[in-house]
Amino acid sequence: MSNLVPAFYELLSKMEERSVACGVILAACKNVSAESLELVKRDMEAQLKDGLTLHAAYDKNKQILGILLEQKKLADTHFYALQIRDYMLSRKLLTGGMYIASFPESSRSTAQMLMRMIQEMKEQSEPGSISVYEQHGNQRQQEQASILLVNPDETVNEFLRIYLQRKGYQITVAHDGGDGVEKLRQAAFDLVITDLNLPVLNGYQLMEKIRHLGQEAMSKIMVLTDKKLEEDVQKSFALGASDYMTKPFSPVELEARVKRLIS
Amino acid sequence: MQTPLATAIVFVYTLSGITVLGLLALFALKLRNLSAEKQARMCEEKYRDYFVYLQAYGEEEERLKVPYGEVTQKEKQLIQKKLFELMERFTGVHRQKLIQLCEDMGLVAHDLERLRSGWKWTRVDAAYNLGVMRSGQAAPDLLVLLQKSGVNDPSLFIFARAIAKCARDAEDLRQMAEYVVRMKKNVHQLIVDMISDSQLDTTSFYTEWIRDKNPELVKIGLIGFAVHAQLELEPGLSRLALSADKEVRIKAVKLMCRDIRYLNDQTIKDFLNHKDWEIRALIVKAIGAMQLADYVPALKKAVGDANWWVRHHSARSLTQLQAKGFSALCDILREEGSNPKSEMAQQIIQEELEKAERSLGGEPSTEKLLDYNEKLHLYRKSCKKTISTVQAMEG
Repeated sequence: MSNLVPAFYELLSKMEERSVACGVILAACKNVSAESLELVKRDMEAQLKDGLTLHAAYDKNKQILGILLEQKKLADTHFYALQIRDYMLSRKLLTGGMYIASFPESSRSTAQMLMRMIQEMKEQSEPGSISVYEQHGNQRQQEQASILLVNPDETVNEFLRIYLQRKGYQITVAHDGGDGVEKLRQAAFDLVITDLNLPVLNGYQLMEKIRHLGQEAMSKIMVLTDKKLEEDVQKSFALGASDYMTKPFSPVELEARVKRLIS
Repeated sequence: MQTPLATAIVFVYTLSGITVLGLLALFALKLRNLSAEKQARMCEEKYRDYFVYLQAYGEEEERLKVPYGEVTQKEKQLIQKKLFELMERFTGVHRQKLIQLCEDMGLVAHDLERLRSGWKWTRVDAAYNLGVMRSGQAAPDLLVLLQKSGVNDPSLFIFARAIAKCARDAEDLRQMAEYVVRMKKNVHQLIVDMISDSQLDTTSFYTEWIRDKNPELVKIGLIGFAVHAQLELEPGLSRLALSADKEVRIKAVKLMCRDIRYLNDQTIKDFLNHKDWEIRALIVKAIGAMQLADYVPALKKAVGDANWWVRHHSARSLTQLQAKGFSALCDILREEGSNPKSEMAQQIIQEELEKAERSLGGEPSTEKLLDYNEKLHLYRKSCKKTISTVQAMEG
């Protein structure tokens, strides 16, 4: 068992008892002595400012640096992890990726969460990459609903990929209608979110193609576009769309609609 | 004395000098662009993970944190560009969080300062930025700048839209709308479009504007009223339908024709006999859309209206009133000689039969088949009578 578990156990138990949030950061780190660790900790505290209470421990066998951030939720933990990563990179301490979580957002049991994180650390190999711990990671991946995003707008694609992935969906992105059809031929999706203004094949043509692909369980279609005319709405529904949203849109509303369509 | 050759040489040298200077200027511009692109790429790379953080936690309780470390002015501008891209695409809590972040980063304060710049285009740029950031603080200054814009100043619309986005209350929007309609003509629709960018609930003050004394505000109110579905009846509409201003009359009737609760028997009759053909066209169209089968005789009469649009919509509405309406249309063929009324009826019947025939393609439902057969039967019956009448007259 990693020595990070006993090192953090008492503190994590207290937090769990008091139901206080606590951020956890694990980083693949070069060998550091106890004195260096104390120095690193002080350096980090000075850099993070904000009067943050930080606890650090090092597992020599697994070469993992563990950091606890008192009273920090996942969003703040992610933000501080960015700074810690930059600090470690500048000191050439980082040898692989970082893994972050927060109690109780990520898991109800802190000890279990910490142990699973340490086990899964091996997979976080890309230096400097930051991954967020998911309670039912592998199990969930198989159950995740899949969504194909067909949109030429890079900003919307990037945002929805990040946002919907956090909500537990598997996202595939296509930048034009042709690419969308290609991806639909390769795999089945639970939902296709498409724009109407697309290069190569427009949204209407894409919807017709989906109808003619003849998949047994045809993907549901949601149109996400800046076209607000009644004719476009009417035509989209006639071609098989299950929902229609116009831009600018509320991501919260979009997620609620996605959930309803997929469930 | 200078010879023509010497003059030519001087001229060639001057031209060459100007060309070289021009090329150098172009080269410098190109280098500047390349350097700006490189800077933008580096900044994007530097803040890539920070942008992921911003996009992942947009709906959490905590405020989004400002970028850490030293952020140069140029980097701030590039971050602002990215934030604007997101803010223009998303609404709700995500946009609110980004607006807060802009305030925390000092971007709002910076643009409020630029709003007082001596350079006009700096002020215009700052107004646009403040609009995107929905800064309520900027509204008073933006109103002052708007009121300094002249009739031919294109920046007037930039200030007006920025005010709509930053408006703190209905009064800000009212001042903006009043000024813009005073400066420009036929901009009511555009103002409603601008106001749709506002963060305020616009439904209530469109209702207020409908009751306003300023006819320009009434027009904006009527357009805005049409955009939102209304639960409550607006008693002011019936009064506006009698307005001396034709545009107001038509807009009010258009709204009334969307809701059956406004249309009692007397109102429908008044509109059918109205002096404005636009109002007659609106009511005959509404009768069809609302399936008011009791008005088939009135529609049949309106197919003979002096205005083509009224004739057209009356005939179209008759086709929407099932067999009774279609039969009335066929009766026109039988009863009328060759005149605009029967021509219109003939045209719409033909279109309707073609449409019904087209819908039979593939495997038609029994309902569609029955509908087509009934229409065809009614048409043939009227044709037969028409022919027999003609034959009798000829005989």
